[in-house]
Amino acid sequence: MLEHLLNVVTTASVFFTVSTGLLIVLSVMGVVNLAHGAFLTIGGYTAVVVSQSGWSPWSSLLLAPTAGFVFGLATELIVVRSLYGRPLDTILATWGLAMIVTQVLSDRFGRSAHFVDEVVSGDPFVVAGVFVSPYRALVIAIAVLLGVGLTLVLRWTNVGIIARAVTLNPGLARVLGINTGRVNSITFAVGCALAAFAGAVIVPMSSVDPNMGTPWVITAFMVVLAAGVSLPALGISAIGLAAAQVLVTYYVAPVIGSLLVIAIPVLLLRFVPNGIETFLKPR
Amino acid sequence: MSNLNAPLQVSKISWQGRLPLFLYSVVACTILAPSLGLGNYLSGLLVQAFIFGIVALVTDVIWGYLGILTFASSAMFGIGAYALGIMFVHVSPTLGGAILAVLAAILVAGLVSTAIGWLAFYSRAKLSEFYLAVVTLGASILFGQAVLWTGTLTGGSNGLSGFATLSLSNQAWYAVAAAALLISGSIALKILSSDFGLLMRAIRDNEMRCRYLSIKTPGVKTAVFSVCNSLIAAMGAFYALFTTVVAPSLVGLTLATNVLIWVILGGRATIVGPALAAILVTAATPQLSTTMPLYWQGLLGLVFVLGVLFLPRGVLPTILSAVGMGMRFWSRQPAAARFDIGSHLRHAEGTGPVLQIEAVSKNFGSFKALTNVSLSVQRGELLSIVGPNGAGKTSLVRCISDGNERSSGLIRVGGTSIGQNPPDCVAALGVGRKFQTASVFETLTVAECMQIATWKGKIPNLFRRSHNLTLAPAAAEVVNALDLNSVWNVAARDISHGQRQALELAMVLAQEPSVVILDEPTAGLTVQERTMVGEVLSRLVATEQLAVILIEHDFEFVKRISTRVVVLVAGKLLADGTIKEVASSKLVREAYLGRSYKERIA
Amino acid sequence: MTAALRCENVRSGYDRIEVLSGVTIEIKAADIYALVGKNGAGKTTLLQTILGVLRPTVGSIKLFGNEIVGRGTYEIVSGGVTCAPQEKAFFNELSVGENLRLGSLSLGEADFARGRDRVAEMFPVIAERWRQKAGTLSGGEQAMVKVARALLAKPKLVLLDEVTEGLQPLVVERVQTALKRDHAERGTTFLIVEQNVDFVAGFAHRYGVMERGEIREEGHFSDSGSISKINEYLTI
Repeated sequence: MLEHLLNVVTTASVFFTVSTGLLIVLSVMGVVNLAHGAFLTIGGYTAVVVSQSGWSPWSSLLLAPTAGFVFGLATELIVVRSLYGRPLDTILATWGLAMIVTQVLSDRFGRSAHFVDEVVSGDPFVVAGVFVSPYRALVIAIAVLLGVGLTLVLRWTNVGIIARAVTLNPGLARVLGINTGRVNSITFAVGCALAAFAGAVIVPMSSVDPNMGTPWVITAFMVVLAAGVSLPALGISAIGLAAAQVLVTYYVAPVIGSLLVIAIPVLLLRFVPNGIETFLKPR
Repeated sequence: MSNLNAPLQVSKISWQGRLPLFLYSVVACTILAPSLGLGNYLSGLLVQAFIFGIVALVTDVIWGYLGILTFASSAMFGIGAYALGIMFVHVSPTLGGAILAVLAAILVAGLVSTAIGWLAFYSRAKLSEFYLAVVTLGASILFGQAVLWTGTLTGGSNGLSGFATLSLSNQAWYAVAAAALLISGSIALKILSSDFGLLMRAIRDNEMRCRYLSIKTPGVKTAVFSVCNSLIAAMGAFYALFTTVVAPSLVGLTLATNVLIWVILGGRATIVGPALAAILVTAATPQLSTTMPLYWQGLLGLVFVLGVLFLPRGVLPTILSAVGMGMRFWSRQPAAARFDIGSHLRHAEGTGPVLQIEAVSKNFGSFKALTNVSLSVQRGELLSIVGPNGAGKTSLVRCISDGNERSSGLIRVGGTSIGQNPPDCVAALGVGRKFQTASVFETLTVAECMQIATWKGKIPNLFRRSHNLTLAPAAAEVVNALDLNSVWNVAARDISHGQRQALELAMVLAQEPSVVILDEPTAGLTVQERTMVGEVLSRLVATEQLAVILIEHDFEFVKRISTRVVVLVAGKLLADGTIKEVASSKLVREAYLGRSYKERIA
Repeated sequence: MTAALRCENVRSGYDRIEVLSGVTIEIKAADIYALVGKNGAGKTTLLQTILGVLRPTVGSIKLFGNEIVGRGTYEIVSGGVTCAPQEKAFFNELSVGENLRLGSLSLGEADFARGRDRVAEMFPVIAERWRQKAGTLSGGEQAMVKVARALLAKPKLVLLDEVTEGLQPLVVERVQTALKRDHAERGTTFLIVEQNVDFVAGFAHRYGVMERGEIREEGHFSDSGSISKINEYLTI
């Protein structure tokens, strides 16, 4: 039982970490960044480079988001900005970009999988009769820190207030003197940085290959869709969908588990178009 | 009144009317080609290319023409391919088996599409624009995973291959594929030039306007989506039949993306373009991926991005227009050159108020837009609703025209409650709504807009294009009075603002509603246009016994034509009476007109 | 002396409707100019055009001598312009304090604190409701917060769009006092759009009557008969 709980919490942490970047971009800019998976892959390969260069694995957690930020900024300025007001075309263009990135990465690193050492290694320690590897503990800790950190930034800093303002009413924000263009660029870059960060975090779990991002972008998309525009809702969505996937995979079949991650948000949105955040708003 | 005679674009050589010639030459080429000695390899490649060409042109109907971005083409293709593969490997590799498999594929694809349509098109709540793209994306991925996991049946990650298939010569396969392409292409083009094609264009241009013209758009979209996907599934089966290889890689996201790339390259909504792009790319791929294997996917992605960014019309159309050629392959016959005036048709006759609003409230969370509004409107009344900005006038209009809008209360049209029904049902009951910003079909001509309105929600002919147009007397009056005759064959986006307002009014009246709601009809009109509209409305109310509800800020206009005025302030009905009564009410003056105003009632 | 605002033959609109059909207006620095007119005359459209939300098809707009047509809203506003929009003027989910901060991001924390104290003196409600969500305030409180936000960052030009609509006389008086005070202390230029002539007659210098996208009549409130002339245009 506790084993399941641990699995759910770990999976939920991963879902959450992978999805925050996508949520931020969607809420502030209203666009879906289908290149999110590609940036995740960039983060993964940053970890590979770090590992191959013999640097400390911790540095990948810094280098990956930096790489993501830089490339994300370039993407926004070149591609996304020109498609303002064309949301479906943005989906397509970012998807095309993902294909290009995948190509470049497979040219540079080859198509086969790479493996990366865990950031923290060591013997698993025991918590309430269950074995917990340090890596897993780190993943959970990172998700929690990320959630708390972002919430604090959004609520207490000027940057956060500006982001929330642009989310709520971009027209009013502009008229009050906020440079929404710059806000959008930075938001997109941060979203990509978070994607890359997530990539670096999860690589020890699985291998790194040029196509690793694709299933993750879909998962992230589903988690975000089910959540709506709200960080707490994202947490709930991550936990709910992780629970569905983990438990159903164990008791029924893996394919049904993955199916639920897609089916649940699709059905939920049909009846509750704004997602889980609808339930969190005070009446 | 400005008489805008926008010159029609005749500078480009277009293919209109040359369709038969084009088709015949293609037919000739395809029949002759094998005798020119296409090797087995090339003809085999072309069979696959033709099949993908059909998939591309069908996806163009769904996406380019109807506006539904779908990632599901590959999943549908896969349903067909696997149906055939499973049938041939596990059951019976005969012609009978093939037919059965195709039928099964069509059925399954149709069912899945209908389910997707139910999810995406019928929701009363406002779904995000990505919703359908997301659902189809998810469906593609699910299908890909499903085939991997049902190992024994589908061959898992190896797929099914090398099974015995029907024995046909390469020439025969080629002929069948070419014929299929020609037939699908011709049927598609024929349908697009028909009245039904007109309907699809209208839905893409302005779905909401269609719903308010009684057209049940969710049903139309789901039907087209399902039929097209079933055809794609049939193509998948054909593909499997020919290549005898059914692999998961075939049906995953790669194919889904490729289909979209073909449509973008070939030009959205051109039908022939995507087919051509699919054929060229498929035929060239083996060559290209051997010469530049490392870069092929990336190059495709680059083309994708550049195409979306810079060539929204597509690569082929851009190239063609650069050399002065248009790319419309179906005939754009002008609609009826003139129209007849029909006899008076009445909606639910009878006594009693034509519209009853009983204790209607509308809340947005804690904000009360309307509180307990009750109103009764009879035939032959011209009722004006006035009030300050934000008073709830547009909310009230929304509640009347859409059963799902109000939070509480009852609304009856001709005695029948509108319940929670969507706008198309309410429009069919006899409520016509004219929007504040003229809501018409931008790319359609004035005549075509009117034609769509006269259907009154009935689904039009699939293959024929009607040339007769009969307008209700009220609509005809507006067309004549506001001189829409002079711009009969001009696209709606090219006519003047005043004419667009008139067009929308005429479209609404063509439905022969019993009550017409006009939201600020005089916005942006010249003085003469304003006068004309006022006269027309007064006349219609008097002779046709129409009920008109007007939302207006222009008090001159209101004073001149209204029989009754109702004042709405902060969501509540403050006054109801003749204009004299209302203007002299102290309550109204304080709440709306302000104490500094001196009223002078002429 | 350069005019604070100079519009020349501005034509503008939206959805292909032309709402402004050639507006020429000049407001000198430290002027209080009242723009009156009936609903639909184009007053809000003019404000939106000045702020760069709408782009004029024809004409020029000079802000303190600088041509601003074609510039982004953000640039124009950072030239020292604030506004109080008529509708959707708040981020309802954010607190009063956050709304005020968002209206004065150009100020550092210390300057913001000083500005906040200054407007809190004019409108005590601000201090009382600092943490409350803006969407929960009453109409009168919202109007006061709107005006406070417009005055906080010590702008050079303030655009007000029907801020007294639906307000009780007491609140209207308070707003009027605050505007007069700000003008006296800082020589702020005001462009006030109003249908309530009584409100502006009390302290505005000049007026312009707008009808169907044009300025029909201009004058000084100090001229005799100005108010009756205005009312002639506004009667129903």
